[in-house]
Amino acid sequence: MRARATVFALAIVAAMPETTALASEANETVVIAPPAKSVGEAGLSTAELRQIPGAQGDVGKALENLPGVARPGLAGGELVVWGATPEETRVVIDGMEIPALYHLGGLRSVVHSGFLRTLTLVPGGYGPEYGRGLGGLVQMASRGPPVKPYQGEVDADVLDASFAAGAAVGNGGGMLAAGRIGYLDRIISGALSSDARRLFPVPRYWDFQGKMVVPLRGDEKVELIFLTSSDASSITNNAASPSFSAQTNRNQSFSRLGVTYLRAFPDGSGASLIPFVGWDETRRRQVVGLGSADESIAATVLGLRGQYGAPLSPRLTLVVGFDGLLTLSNVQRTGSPTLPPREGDIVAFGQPISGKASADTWSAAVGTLAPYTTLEIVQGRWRLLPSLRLDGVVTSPNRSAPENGVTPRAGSARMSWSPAPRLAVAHQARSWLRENAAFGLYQQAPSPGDLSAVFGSPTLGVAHALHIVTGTEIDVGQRLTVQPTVFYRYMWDLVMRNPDASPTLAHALVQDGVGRAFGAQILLRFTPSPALNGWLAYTLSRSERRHSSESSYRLFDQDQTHLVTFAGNVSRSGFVVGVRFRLASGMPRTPVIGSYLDATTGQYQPIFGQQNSLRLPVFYALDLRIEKHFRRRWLDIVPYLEILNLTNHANVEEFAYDEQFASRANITGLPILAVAGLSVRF
Amino acid sequence: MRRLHIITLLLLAGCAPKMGNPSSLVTEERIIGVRGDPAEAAPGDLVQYSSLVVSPSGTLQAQELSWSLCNLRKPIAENTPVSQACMTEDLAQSAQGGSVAIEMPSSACSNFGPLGPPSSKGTLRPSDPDATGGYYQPLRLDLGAKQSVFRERLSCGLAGASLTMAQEFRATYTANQNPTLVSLSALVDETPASLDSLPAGQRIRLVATWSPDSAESYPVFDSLSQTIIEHREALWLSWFATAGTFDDSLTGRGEDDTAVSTENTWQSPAGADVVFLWFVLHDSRGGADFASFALTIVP
Repeated sequence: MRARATVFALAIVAAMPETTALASEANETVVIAPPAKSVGEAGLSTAELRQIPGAQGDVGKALENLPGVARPGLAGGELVVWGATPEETRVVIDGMEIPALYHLGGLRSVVHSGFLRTLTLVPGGYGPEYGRGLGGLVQMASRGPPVKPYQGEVDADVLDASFAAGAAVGNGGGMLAAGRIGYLDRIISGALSSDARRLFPVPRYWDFQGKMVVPLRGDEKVELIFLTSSDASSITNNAASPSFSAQTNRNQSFSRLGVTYLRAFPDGSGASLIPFVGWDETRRRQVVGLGSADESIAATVLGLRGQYGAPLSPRLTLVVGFDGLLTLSNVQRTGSPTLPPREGDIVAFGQPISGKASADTWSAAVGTLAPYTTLEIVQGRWRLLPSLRLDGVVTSPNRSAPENGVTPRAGSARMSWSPAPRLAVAHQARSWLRENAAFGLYQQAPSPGDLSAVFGSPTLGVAHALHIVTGTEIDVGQRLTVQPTVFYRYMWDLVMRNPDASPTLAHALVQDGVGRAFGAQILLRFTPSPALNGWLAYTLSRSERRHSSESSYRLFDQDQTHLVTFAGNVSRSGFVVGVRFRLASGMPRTPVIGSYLDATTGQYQPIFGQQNSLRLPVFYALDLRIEKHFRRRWLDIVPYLEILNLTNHANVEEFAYDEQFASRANITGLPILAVAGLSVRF
Repeated sequence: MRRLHIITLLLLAGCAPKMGNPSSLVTEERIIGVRGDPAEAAPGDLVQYSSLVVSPSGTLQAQELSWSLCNLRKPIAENTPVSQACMTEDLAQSAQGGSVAIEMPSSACSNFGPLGPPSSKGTLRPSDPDATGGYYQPLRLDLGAKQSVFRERLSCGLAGASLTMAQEFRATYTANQNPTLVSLSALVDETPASLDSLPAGQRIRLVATWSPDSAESYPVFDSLSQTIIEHREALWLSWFATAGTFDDSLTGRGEDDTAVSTENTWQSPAGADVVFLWFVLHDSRGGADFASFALTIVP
């Protein structure tokens, strides 16, 4: 069984019995990283991650501390993995793709940690079961029903209250539910001054997850899962002049309903089938002075994935499957084409927006169907996983050109097939040394929001990426593991704004972008004693983009050269004391080298220097978490206190400019801050 | 204590610190206002421009002020009102002086309007209108190293409208007129005060008034609903002075606010002096008016 649990996660919802939920999960502790790992995967357990200071027990939030993950910026909630944009990293739970890992503002993840069995970040080089993304992959798997008749937890802190509970029903069946409701906005309404309420958006959020497991036979079961999440935030700043007033409203929600059918056959083979349906809705309204932008996207998502795996011989295992997703979107957008900004836009914090106002309403169908196959070959100390995924992509916007009077509307459809060969190799060189490598091609279909004839281009096709990853895992005794990893990612056909001053009609976006990200990371995990554990991660990387193969590279907007995270926990007498230290290079910014008065509005506008040639200062912070476990019969009561930025270091989160863009100052982040919470587990 | 921390948590983001001199304080020679007459012109029209150039010693004639038409289109990727190239490229001078006359290029509506420039590579994307449905011809003003941009509103056709809708639009649309400033009054402790004798070191309420017809109504074509929607101009005032501090650099009235005045509070300087004060009135379709005052501050 262990042999099968290779360094490559064949599938989180796999056909392999030992990697599926068919085995009893009743006794599972929360083990985030399964024994099977991809190259570069940290393999930290949920227990470790939930105790990281600053995460408030949220595994998804703790993910931001893993090697290769950039520290999020001021807006929060953006998962930048190995120099890929957040939109290039896919998030899946039980095989179902969801639009985001975090609620607005990044305060919480959208799935309760108590609902999860595993949460795995694969920064690159993952297998053929997943695709549709050029960056990393966040895989979540929900828990099974508990062994005890019932089990759960209730948590509360200054941000929100949440619960997760499960009940066993019959033999191997059961139910699980979890949810969260944020009340920070309600607390704030009484605590903040009216000025502060005007300035700072406080997200209002809730989420719910439910799951039912029905065993059919000893080797067969059906799981029904439902997820939903909702966010809203609003901010209004009524300035003395209408040219300075600002308002931002954001709403986003999604739901997923899926059924997982799993079956294990006596010959060691297994099959899974996951049909699911979902609804996504995003609305954004932004008004800055005389410019505004409104966007609403409503999408229906239909997905189907299936997989069958069978051992052909003791050394060969064949896996075949398919991964299909159809997104039907209705989009309406008005306002400035540059609002909200996208990667590569040059903008200064607080800059008046251009005031241009376009409008378009369109619908788009984007479908992908990807059959794939993997052959697992075990030969001595070697394990090879050659695989092939064939990404079939259909894009069909209903409008090829902007609305023009009574001219009949004409849509278009494009279809492409892109082969995505992938190869993973693992070598157990010594009992204490494992060597891994992975290579693969990855594709990403255009976003429905980019298929506008006014704001984007209806002719956008598939973007591509090449991942090359290699790493080793060295056990130094039984108390220290060292995991160095080297990665390279090359991306082409990236969607970017058309740099041409006179673009052709319906080509506001073009697909000439090229990108590359490369670097190395090292993770040291140590467990000197059962009561003491920790890890140190360092990532050195560089991520760049260019508008075409003829232009020169510039830094990626969220590039961070150095990322250092240290986290450690000590347990004693019911206390768990954790520390976290983070250091991260500042993100690039474009310097303002001059300004001019726009005499038409009376506002100054910046003149920019070389794109992304300036960086925010280095960030560092030391955080502390203390929790105490009080066991009272069947209850485990855990109050905790987190003190963030213990040294009260004034970290610069953004540059701000005066009205004439003549002088620059720093916007600093959190001062020393205490957050208290309580968790009751039963 | 906890309450304080929650507040702190939220205060981390988005708060631009106060820094530098406010734009309302005139400490050096600057262009602060431009007015075109007419405020909206068709290609080929001659437009009479006047500028407001100021310095700590008062209003300047600015004979060396250089005016250049910028015919460079703005790439979509740029988040500024005119192309960055307009500010960095060498442009042919169109005129020089504080008040000049410049003819709008015949290609203005194809270059910056809804028609889209002619091209051999296919139909080019026309310029995007602003929120008022307007298209603009940029002009760059150079005063030594100081640069400014003025955008002349263009009378062009509609984009994306049916013939019926275009006819209806033409029938209801009136070209923009410059707003008109009427008066400036000062109140000290809610008591009217003379501009020739304002107290030093006091918070003085300044009220600027414009004519009732300054905020014009105008139609905007909504391409989504294919309808014409009636709007009303917003008006705002840029305040400038050689001493003292204003609470706000700009104040004004929104589209739905029918008041014909705006006010600002000015902290007069501590010592006796003559302070030059200017304000520039803007409407949301690019019209402008400006006025100058010499305030006498007494101890």
